[in-house]
Amino acid sequence: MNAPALTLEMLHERFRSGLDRRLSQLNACLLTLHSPMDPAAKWRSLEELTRGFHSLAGIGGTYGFSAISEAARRGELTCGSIELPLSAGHAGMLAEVIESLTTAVAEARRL
Amino acid sequence: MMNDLLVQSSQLPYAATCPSCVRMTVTCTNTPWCQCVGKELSPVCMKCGKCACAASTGLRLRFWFEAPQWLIDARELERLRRRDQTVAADAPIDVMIVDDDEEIRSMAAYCVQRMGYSVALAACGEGALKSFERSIPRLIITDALMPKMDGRELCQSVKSSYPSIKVIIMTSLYTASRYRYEAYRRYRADDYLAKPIDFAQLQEALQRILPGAVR
Repeated sequence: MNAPALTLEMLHERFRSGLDRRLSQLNACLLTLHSPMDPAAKWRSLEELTRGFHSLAGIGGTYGFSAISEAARRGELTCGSIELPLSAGHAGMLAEVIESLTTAVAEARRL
Repeated sequence: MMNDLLVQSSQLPYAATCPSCVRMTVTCTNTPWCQCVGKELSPVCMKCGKCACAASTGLRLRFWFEAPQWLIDARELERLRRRDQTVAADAPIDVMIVDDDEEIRSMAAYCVQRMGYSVALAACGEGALKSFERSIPRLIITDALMPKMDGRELCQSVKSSYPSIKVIIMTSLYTASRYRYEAYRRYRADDYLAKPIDFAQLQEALQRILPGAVR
């Protein structure tokens, strides 16, 4: 497929408007990790969470939102060290990352 | 004078619900058309940057049912223009960008196009290889981690079958020097770019790998 001719403003607007969806997906994965589901579903959620953080880390920096990128990178690294079931320490670290991301996303929307 | 006024008033921006993001958006005469192949032609939403091709049939039909005549005429003109340019569309392309994240693809495409290169996009390794039936790029810039065939497999496959095609692997995985070495040695990549993409680095890599192509 040939690349469509989008303007820089359209790209940024699309990125900002997609941030809430990305954040909701991360929150949904986190909820699954906390819920009493079977281990396979939890591993899938952890994989999805890692991928979500990884993607947001890359794209946040590419669009110039370094706070989003850094928070997401921290989330990705945290996910890499998690063993299931989720320990209280890791749960706290993930909650802190999500809080930082929510703040960074709110900041990006204000720009 | 009266005719001019009629033409202008009939081409007022069309405000309607985008069938893709379901938000109020505006379509005007300079709104770009989508590039979906073999799908319904539709304008790109100013809010979400997507077209209506992947939206539900009901929302698409409603959009076009309520669309003003000038937009329907403009779509027909665009269809005719594209039909005439089919041969040109299959002409060789300079750079193919392969990434499963649409927003990374779009931003990379924007930067590469601004440098004067022609660009094609693919969302996965298989998609990239399949598009070679139509046109073979001179350079592929691919993400390393993707579902199904990832960028590393794509690189190996391309280097085996099309050794003249240059490949840049971009990823946040390859931050350490041993990973960079692996990208060159094991996957035979011509270069590697770390994510987040640094556009000065991208430009430098493109000028080095495709010299003289910057217009």
